Amino acid sequence: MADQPTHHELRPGATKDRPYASKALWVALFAAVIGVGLWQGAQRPAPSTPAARMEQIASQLRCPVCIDESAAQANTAAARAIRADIATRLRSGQSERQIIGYMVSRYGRWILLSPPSSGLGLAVWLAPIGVTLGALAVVAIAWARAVRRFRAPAPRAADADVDLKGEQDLSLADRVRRVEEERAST
Amino acid sequence: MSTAAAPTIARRRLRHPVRRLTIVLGLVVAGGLAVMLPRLGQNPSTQVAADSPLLGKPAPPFSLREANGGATVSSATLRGHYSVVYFFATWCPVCVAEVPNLVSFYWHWHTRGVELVGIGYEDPGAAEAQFARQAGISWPLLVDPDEQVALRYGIFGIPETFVIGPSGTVLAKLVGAVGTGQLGAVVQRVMQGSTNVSVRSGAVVPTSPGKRAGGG
Repeated sequence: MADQPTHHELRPGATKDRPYASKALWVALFAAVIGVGLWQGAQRPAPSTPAARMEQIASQLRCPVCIDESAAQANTAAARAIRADIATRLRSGQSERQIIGYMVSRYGRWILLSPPSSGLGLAVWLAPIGVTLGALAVVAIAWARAVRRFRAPAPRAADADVDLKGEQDLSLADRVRRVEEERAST
Repeated sequence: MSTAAAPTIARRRLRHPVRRLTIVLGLVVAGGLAVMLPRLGQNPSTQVAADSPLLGKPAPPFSLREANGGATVSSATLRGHYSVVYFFATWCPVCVAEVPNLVSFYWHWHTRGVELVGIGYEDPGAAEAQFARQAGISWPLLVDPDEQVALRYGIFGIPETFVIGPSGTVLAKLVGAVGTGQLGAVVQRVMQGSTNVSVRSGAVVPTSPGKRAGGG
């Protein structure tokens, strides 16, 4: 911790192995944030009472006669019927999966509040992950390039030829003019 | 910069990884929006249409008491006949308005061996019995006390109508008013061998007027 880089060390001519340490730090930080997020998301409190189990299952199902309301929240006859049916099925020993499967067999996949993890529904689940990773990649690449540009020493006249190698589409006159301009400025 | 170099620079800019990724991300987001935005304004219940997962499957069993305090009618007693199970409510304007359609359907098709039963949704038996007397309904109106039979049939609004074959298989589902000749036409189709018939017409009443303000 004592030899953490300061702003001075980031200036041109600073030690060259430092960026790897800071890169590793950033990667570790991102990994930690994403890991904690995923872990938090995966943690579902295990319902202890039968009423809580019923509630948890009903909250995944649509109230059939409502707009965007779960069978756990709604106070309609249809939602009450679903809650009563879930409670009966739990008492008879059916699993959450079986009960949700039963509801789907009656109402279709429409009854599920979350989009299904297949077909078009899969895209809904994957799109945010893909866009987030893509955005992180854009930021990382832009950051890396900015750092590289910041660290790179100013081009010397002797390097001008090397610099121009990539610009072969420029006319010879343009290349000569650029070399001369750069010579004049240094 | 000379003008000749311009297209090359533009191309080189496109090759830049950040620009490329940004373009790809932009396309992904635009594509996603194009697919999802048209769906936003739609009421999910209108998307369900009449495609019930029960089509082609055994009809869910039921055993319910008649509203007039009479006999118990069960799905087993309907076996061997083409039967029509009509989910309705006395508080549903669409259902009340089309009683004459059902009366004429019943008189025409009952003599040809088709059974018709009505199952009330969120309706006390007394209201159904009075409704039957006033409207001159002679087919059984059944009381579904906790809407458990409606749940078994996956009802999301009323009226909804199921046509069940003699072997107890769900052959057709109609969502909304059955209309003047529509139900008869569907029965004719399934009698001629059609299966998995689904018809959607007119308005479906999502829930009772009293409950709508209360919570959902």
